Amino acid sequence: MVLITTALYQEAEPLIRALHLKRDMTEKHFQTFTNISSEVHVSEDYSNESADSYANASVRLIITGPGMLPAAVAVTNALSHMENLDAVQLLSIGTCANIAGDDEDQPAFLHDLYQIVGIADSTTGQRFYPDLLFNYGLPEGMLVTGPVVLNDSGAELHAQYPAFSLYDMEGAAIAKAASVFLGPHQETFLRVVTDAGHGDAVTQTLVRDAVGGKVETFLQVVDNLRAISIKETLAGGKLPEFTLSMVDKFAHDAHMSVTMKNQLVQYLRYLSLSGQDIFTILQSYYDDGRLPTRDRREGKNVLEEIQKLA
Amino acid sequence: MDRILENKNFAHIYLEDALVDTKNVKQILLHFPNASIIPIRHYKDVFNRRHQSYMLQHQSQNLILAEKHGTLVYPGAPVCQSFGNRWFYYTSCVMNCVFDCEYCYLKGMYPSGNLVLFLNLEDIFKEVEALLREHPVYLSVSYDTDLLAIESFTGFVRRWTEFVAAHPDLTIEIRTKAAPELLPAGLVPSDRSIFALTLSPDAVVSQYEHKTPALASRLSFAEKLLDACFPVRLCFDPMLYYPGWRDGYSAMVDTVFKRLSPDSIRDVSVGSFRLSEEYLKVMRRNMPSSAVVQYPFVADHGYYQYPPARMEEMETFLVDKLSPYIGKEKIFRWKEQ
Repeated sequence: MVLITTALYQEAEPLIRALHLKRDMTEKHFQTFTNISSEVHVSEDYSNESADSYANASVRLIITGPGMLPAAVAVTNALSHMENLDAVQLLSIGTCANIAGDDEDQPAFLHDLYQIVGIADSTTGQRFYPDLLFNYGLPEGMLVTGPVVLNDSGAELHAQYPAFSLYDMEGAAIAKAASVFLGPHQETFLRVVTDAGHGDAVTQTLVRDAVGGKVETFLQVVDNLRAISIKETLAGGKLPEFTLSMVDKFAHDAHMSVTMKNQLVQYLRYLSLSGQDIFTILQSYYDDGRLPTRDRREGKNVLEEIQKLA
Repeated sequence: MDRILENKNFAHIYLEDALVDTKNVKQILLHFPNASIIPIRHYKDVFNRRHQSYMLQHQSQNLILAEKHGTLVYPGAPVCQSFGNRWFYYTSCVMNCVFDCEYCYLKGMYPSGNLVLFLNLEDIFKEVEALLREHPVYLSVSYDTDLLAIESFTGFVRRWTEFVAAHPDLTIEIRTKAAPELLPAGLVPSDRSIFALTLSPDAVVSQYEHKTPALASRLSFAEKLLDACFPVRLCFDPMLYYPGWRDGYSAMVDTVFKRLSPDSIRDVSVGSFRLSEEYLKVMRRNMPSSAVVQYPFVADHGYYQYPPARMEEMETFLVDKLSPYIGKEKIFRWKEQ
């Protein structure tokens, strides 16, 4: 699942169209859009990385509303309802101001798209660093988040945070809320510069066009994150469902305690990774009439035999 | 769609604000002209973030340049071999390793896969000197990392050998799997700067010791060290159980002593895999497909190791294989303290 956040509808609109998202009417508190496949149907030969696999990974877009608190609440609300958090990739997309002004070391140009490498919360001083595992070919910038629309105080803020050239009103709040549920490898922040923080008029059209002009790049990022999300969904190395049910039955028939069953699972996991056929091993006990055992003592003997195989 | 590539190692360097424009940093950054520098206040702001993926970060490792404060030299860990030294310590001037051995405890110990370089080596030296005023010191300097593998941009091994040469009561061990083509420049030979080479059968190297040089390359490097008059220790530790382990370890020992004269070796250590329970739990969760980590080890006083019979069988096998080459007085087996 790729969870996209934007603060404003105008930021979301180009993405909604490009990703063919539909309004999720079941979500009552925040405008939420999703693609048609709400489940992950993944082709078995994922190793071929077919386009179908990407298309089928779910995408959810939430419009948080402007400001730190709404952003934090929206992200918390979304993530707290998700089951497989390991497979979630958060993509925070938005617009921002350039507060570096004429700083030659940190030019931040109008309508440029930046990958955010560090975020500061100007209200607490706390900092966040998303992992930078992928090369999207974007310029990198550091973002400071504050509670108000800037009106000529950008230079003052930049003086307090000299390494930070960009300003918005949601980034740090999203990072903070997300950090409760996700790791930094699951967070990507992208920002388009729309103004210089002088209280310039940032119109709806300006925002829509700024994001719309970068849609192709956003789509590439979403595709990459979808691929990671699918990979994580498939991964886990857990014993497959049908094996687990056989192990459950085996442990039950051998009168194993919970501890013994956990040991059995560990032995079988290792044997499977070593290339041994655990089905044949388990089935042989039924074929030989050893299972069900009379009692736990006999079950312990069975467990010890399997341990010796390892 | 064009595939988006993972960032290469050290594409980003996090740099503590206090170290900007210092000489040490400038020298390191010369080696990474294309890296993007990200200023941070403290290395823990990046290294200790919650819910990190060690495995993913290790594939696109970043560098963190920092200073270490507080205690800098620690008593030697109980799972580590002291080689009979009473005053056994270790220090970590680098956290994490560029190699990627599946069984490495670093994967369970550290929250992050990124590499931290502590540039205030002088402070570590001062702390060692304070200890030396009390008693001799045997110090492992390359435990939580492989210092030699990153010598090309740190120069830390050179600085340690220089320090040892100036302090007669100090002995250091530099443990490594690295095998540079040439001996790094500027190393000061001393019989108290021991290079401890970890050796494994080819099957173990190829299956579990990712990104490390082959056994043959490590032996070539051992020859270079011996030629330069450095003492060389061979570490057959950790021994790993795998199908065919007897043949594998047997062939390895024969290969080693076809290349290296037993008399030239200072000593050897033998030990099978052992790891704290806490670290192994993390590793098992993060590496569900790794056979070496998922082996059903048994717990003993907070540490996981092979079942006693297997452990004894493996270690005795190797000691018996080594004995014709190396006298038993030079073979150190790890024993629980």
